[in-house]
Amino acid sequence: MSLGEEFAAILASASDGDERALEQIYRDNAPLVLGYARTNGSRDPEDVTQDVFVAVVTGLRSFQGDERAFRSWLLTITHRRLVDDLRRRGRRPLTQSDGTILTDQAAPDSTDGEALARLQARGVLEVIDSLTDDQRAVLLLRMLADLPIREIAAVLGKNETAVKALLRRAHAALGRRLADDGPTDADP
Amino acid sequence: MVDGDDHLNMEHNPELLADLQVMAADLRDAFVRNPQPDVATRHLAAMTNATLAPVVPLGRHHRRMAVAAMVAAGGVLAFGGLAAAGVLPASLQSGAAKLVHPIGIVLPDPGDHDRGPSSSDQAPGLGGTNPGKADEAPGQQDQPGNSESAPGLGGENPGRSDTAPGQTGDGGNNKPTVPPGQVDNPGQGSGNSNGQSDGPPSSVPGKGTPGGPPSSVPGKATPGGPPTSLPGPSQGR
Repeated sequence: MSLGEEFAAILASASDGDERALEQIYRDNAPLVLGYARTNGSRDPEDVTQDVFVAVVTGLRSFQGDERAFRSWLLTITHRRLVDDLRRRGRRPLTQSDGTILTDQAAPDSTDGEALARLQARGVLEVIDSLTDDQRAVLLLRMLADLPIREIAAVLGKNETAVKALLRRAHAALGRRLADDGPTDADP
Repeated sequence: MVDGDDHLNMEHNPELLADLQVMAADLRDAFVRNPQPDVATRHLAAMTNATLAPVVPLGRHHRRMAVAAMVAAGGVLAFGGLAAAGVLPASLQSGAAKLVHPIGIVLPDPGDHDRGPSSSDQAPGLGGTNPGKADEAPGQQDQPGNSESAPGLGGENPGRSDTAPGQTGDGGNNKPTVPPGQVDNPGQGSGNSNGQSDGPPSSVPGKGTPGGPPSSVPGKATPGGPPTSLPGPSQGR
């Protein structure tokens, strides 16, 4: 999930409208955008993803920075689109009331199914559902995108202290759940 | 963090940190996946279209449309209000009146001033050197409607039977040499009586002109007509 040293050249070509460069940027980043939209409870994560990349294309000429900065910019756009989407259509929980995962959020295949089964067995998705919007956003940007505090703060438009507090609370909620259910759920 | 959560702090709980790292890996495996091929094709087509024809964001476009519509509506309302009040410049007022006349809306039209006495801003019977003013009743200048200056009456005691036309104390021998209401200066005996203008009295239609239309407007010197407030004949008995 990284273009590395080629990023600058690919970005320049994409800014000029080169379709291959645009596709490389899309292939490299679409999974993260889609995953962030899915785990945040978007009702149509694929539509959100399309909106994000169209916005990236139209704003590409104004972007300056390296690949890491590009990823932060991309997630900033994604987060804003998600906020609009959730405000308009409401959030769909990752798990239903009976604890099962919504099938179109993450269609399990041979590999993903195991990860999903573990998350479900440990109640992680339920905990994520129970977090506030800000706590969930901070946690997912940390876990999915592996962003440092400073970049999470930039993406969400918050100061670093607030982000640290939100992340602590989210970790605490997960930790409580693991402490309560961990020993039994850990054994399949 | 609340006190009860201190033991969950990452720095003090490496076991939990390891658990969270496993959870993060599971979340990435479960949710961070490539889009379906047809979805990716659709997304890439949308991106290509965006490079070919950069689009104005829909929200901004709608805002511009809304602002333009509001400005237009405000302009129409303001123009319509001014036109209805008849305070537009003459050319605009006339144009507006002609424009809306076919749909049954009648607006004041300055082009209609000369058409007759029904014009809204010119009282009937006024003209000559002192054309009518919109805020003055016909035939009135300074003190409209004073009973002491009844139309057709001159002198210091207007309305008295002995000065009314044809009703003098000597049995009517003292007939006026001019038709009633048309003394030398009809209605101007007192010099400042009302219903008069300084202009030529007899040339003004409806002002002391014999045969002029009877009017209920005070101050008009209608010949032969009874004074509006002073019953001259009864006082002469």
